[in-house]
Amino acid sequence: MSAFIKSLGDLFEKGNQLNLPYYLTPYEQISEMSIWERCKLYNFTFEAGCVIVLLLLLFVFSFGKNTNVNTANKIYGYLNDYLKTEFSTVAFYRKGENTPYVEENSNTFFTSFATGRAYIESVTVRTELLAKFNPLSIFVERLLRYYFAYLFTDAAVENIEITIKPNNVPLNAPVKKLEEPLPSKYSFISAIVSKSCMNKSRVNNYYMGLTQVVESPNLPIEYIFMSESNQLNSIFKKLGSGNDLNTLLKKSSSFLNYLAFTDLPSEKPLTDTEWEKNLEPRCVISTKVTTDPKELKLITELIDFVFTIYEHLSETDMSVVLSGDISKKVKNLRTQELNKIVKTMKEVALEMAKEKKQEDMKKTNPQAEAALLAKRERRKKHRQQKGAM
Amino acid sequence: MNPAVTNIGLMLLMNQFAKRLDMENKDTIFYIRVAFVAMNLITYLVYQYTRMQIIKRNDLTTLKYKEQKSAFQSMSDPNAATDDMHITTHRDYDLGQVDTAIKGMYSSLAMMGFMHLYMGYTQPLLMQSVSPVKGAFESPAVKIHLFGKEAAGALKRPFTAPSMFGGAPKNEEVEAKKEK
Repeated sequence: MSAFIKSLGDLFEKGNQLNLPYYLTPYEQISEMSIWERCKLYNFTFEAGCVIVLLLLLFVFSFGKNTNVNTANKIYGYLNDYLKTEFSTVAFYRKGENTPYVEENSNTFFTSFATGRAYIESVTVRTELLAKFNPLSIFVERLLRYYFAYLFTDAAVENIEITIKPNNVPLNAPVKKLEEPLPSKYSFISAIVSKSCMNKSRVNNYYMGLTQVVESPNLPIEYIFMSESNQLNSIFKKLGSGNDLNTLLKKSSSFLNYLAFTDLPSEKPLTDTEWEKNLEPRCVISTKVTTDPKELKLITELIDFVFTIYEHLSETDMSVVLSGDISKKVKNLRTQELNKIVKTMKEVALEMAKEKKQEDMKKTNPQAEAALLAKRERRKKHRQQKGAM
Repeated sequence: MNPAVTNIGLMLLMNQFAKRLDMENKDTIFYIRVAFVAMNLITYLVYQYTRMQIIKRNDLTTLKYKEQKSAFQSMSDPNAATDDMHITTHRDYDLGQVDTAIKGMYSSLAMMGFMHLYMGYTQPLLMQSVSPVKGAFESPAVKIHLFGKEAAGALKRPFTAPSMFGGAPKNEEVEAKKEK
């Protein structure tokens, strides 16, 4: 370390000596000089170095920012064009201009939205990109992730997440139907997950952690099913139509993370009200970030596949999707999970009440607090003695 | 024989060998440095070749196992469940094992660099010349993918660290399910 500090000191010393002739020149002599003569005498190497570093930072910043913007433009350009053929309203209208997406967090999060279609309430496309304008932070984070992976719970990878929410409203339905809540046939968890991110998906999505992992010969080798009940795995084949799902999945294996139908939240609810509030049937398609038109076309085909599932689901009887047994299983699982949350809630509330009581006692009667502690200590000793006997 | 026991034996042997060398001699130091770098290079190449083989084989068989949290993790979150269920593939599991070994190698290199270049010790450099290669060839992933051994018995995934005194291995992963 001392060698490093010494070399750093030498470097500073060299920097100071750059302008030694200038500083040694008497003040009177400098005063008589013209500006040009003074500039000639002064060594601008250090200042030039600083300017070069600043320009380099500016270049890296604008390069990183433009890279993210270009990626977003390509993705949303393609996906919005497709969504325009399906929805009446796509993207945003801001300050008198059509905006294909909204950006957040210095061009690292991009969002687009589409609504106005039979059977589908909305489609939200979210893209998360790395802060490429700050390569140093990316490098440090990667280094830390490499050595201390367990310190990071989130998946710091770029991804596209498409959320499709159904509304169970056919084209010519009365307006009243829009206000009706979704029937319980939409409330199930069933997902096709790429084997490359099975664990990550379960860690990052609360609802996936509640499912069974089942490998199936009906799926390409790169994927597995994660469903609440094994019988739910068949809904993809039963309700989906259009392109052959297996061919589509096989072609998408390089970028598709998962395709999941769920009604439970991604983050574990901490209270029962939070649980109730976040119940929302939807389909989530998660993919790696891609700008390849062929892969973007495959994403649109996957979205189309989900649309057909929701269309058929809307017209299908509840018993076809969730038969008596499956429905019971699904309800049981939800009740168990909710009970666990309520139990934890009660424990936390009890703990907080205890702490409050102790604090109140400390404030009102410090002697009683000391007596209580002594009593606890006596009990502890008594228990220890009993145990020893 | 148990790798932990052979490691101790090797250490004692190398210690005796090191005592017979003149560690003040510049030529000796040079040859020890060469041996250390060469051995680590060989180890690195072995791991990289194994990595290539794992990717080439692309074994997507599902593997489920429970992994105990490290002491540090337990300290940081004592309320969390002790065991975490991991679901992965043979390919990703093996790659993870090789990556962990490579990480260990980097840490060892940094430690040796500090001890030799800053503290001026040469003996640890000699001791650490053979261990990485030995460790690499004893690694289950290398045995399976480089020597083509069957992933059964002691080499069954999830890999378990053999007990030092020949007792039952500490089986931290309780459930392993194979499906093709």
